[in-house]
Amino acid sequence: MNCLTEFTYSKYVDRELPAEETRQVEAHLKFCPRCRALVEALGTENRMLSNVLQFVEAEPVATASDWRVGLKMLLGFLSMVGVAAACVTAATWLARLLPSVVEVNLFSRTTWMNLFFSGALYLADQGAEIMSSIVSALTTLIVGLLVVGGLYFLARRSASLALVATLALVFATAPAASAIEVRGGGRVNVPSGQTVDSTLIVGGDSVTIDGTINGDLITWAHRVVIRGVVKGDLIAGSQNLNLEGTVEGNVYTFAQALELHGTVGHTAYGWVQTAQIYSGAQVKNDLIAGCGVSNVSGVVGRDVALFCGNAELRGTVGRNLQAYVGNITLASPAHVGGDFTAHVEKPNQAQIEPGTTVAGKTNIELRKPKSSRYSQAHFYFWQAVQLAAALLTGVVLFALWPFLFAARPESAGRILIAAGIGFLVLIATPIAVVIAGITLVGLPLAVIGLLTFVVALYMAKIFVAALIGQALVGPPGLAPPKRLGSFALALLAGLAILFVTMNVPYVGELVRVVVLLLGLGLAFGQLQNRWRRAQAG
Amino acid sequence: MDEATLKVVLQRAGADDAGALADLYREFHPRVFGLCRYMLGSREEAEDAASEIFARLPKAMKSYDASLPFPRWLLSVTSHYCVDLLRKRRVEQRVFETTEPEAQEPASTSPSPLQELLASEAREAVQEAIQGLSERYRLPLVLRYYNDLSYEEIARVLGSTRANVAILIFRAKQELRAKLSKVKLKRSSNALYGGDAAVNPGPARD
Repeated sequence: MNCLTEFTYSKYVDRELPAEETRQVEAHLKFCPRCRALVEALGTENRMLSNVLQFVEAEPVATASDWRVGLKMLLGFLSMVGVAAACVTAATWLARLLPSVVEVNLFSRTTWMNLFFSGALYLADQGAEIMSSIVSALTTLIVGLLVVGGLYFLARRSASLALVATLALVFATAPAASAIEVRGGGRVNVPSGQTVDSTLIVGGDSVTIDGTINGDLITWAHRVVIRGVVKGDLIAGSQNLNLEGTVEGNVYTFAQALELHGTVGHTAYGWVQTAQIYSGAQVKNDLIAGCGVSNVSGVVGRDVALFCGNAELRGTVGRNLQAYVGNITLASPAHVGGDFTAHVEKPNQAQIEPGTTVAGKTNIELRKPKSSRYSQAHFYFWQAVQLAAALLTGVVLFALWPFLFAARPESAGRILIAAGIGFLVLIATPIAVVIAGITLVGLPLAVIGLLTFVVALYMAKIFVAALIGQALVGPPGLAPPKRLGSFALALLAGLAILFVTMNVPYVGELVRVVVLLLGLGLAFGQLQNRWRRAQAG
Repeated sequence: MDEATLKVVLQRAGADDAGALADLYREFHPRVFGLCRYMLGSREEAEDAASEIFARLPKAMKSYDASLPFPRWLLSVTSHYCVDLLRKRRVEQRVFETTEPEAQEPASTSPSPLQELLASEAREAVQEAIQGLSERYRLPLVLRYYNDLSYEEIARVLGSTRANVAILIFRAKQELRAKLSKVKLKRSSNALYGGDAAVNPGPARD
């Protein structure tokens, strides 16, 4: 008897042959070992197929129970806090190392770094307080989450209720501010004669301090005027900062215009457009300023470092004056107790007028005009390092939360929408952070939010690179890759393309913006999806 | 969920009980999602489709015929929904045109049946190969071996004929074997496939 076709056997194994043919097949199989083997193989293949198909790639999280989703989110949140804590610890560690460095070697080539370190120093100073308030906020948050989790199971669908309840709980049960006072409003005034015994945090249109602050003053406002006394540090972000009184600690300022008439007990750090240190003003330690225009007529007890477009010095510098400037003029009756070093491009950009004295050496160092960064080897080296870092970050992220990379915009419209969302996120997050920051309890949350935001800004390009890479070298049909190896390869390809295009002159800037918006939008969309699905469960 | 529980849950779900619907979701979402995943090809679409199917479930429950096992019914609803999606996706392509018959009787010239591909690495390779099949082959194959539908039922879902489905499934498997034997060749050096994937000799015509 003739063997039947494989097609027939295939139908037979699927139990889809009519009764008559089934009998024929069975009759034949009795005598034909080869066909029997084939039928057996086909059966095994079917079982194998059924088996394989039962494994759908990593379970969608929506099927995981809600608490697991919550746990994951909590873990993510905690790890971010961990990163923040690590930063603070690192800063503390640096601070132990640094004071000597700052004292001895302020005017090395690393002055720029010192600026950065001074930020770290501040963190180190305040780190313990920041940490304790983060911890207390976290504790509250966890308690809140537990309670809300209970509520959530009672009223499954009211996710928004849950969210509101969490926030309410956090704010209601947060520890009362002990050593910090917060004020806000259009015009905030601490009148003469009034004393604030704690650190004062104020926001508003205009802030005027005529009285005394025994702690630090942290303020952001359109206009800040200080005629009184701040015994701690002053941290000010404002359009105009007018300091007529006394700050006994350090001054950290980010302002458009800084006018200093009064006294700074320690060091003044400024990132400002215009810095005016008037005659009669005094900075007892150092003055470190990055600015467009600066005019120093007052007295600085120790060193001055200026990173300016235009700088003019008429006052007194106790020790060294170091200037990285476009132009600098030392005009009468300027006096520099130590060395004067100017880093300029041309000799005539450093003017020393008659009637000025420099006790130490005068060095005019000429900077070489910047050669194109593309012709420098270290540019490529650092780009490569950055690429590797981005690749590593992306791969770790993928291993932790692959869903972040599952976004597959199918059309140009979707991409536009993602970019739009990214734009909103870009605008809304800082606003939310500021709002959270105004309320005291929200301050740690604001810090965490800000950190997350910065991290997200960094990661935007990774998301976009992953998308591009997978479209190019990934599996067909834009299916997300399951294996880390193939993902890493795709990401590498995407990153390489992005790094090259982002460094094309002019166009690169545009690419950066688009990548930022798109990356933020994609990641946010994925998070939102995930959240929605967790809710739908 | 045992049958008695399922029955109670179904009754409550029929009466729009949110809790019961949530139970059904927990119980069956993975299977529904899996089917969507294989039928639609992209994970995102599959997740959306699965969500949509459960969102529509309260309404669809009205037409549920209790004589049919619920999982089977749910998966057939899912298959129909996915096929509709795919149809909408390519109105012009007419993937499921039945009038164009496949070759009468497919010849068995392809590599022999696959066996013992159960190591997890191999499983991924098979899944990838399945995802790589054209829709025309992938759908019947998935409906048959994931859903366990009969040729007849598959034909109904795809709007095709039983005979055509038989051919499509056979072809699908042939193509799968061809794809996988390529993979196997590529990787034979690193011995991931310790066992033989396809050792069976084809049938001889005596």
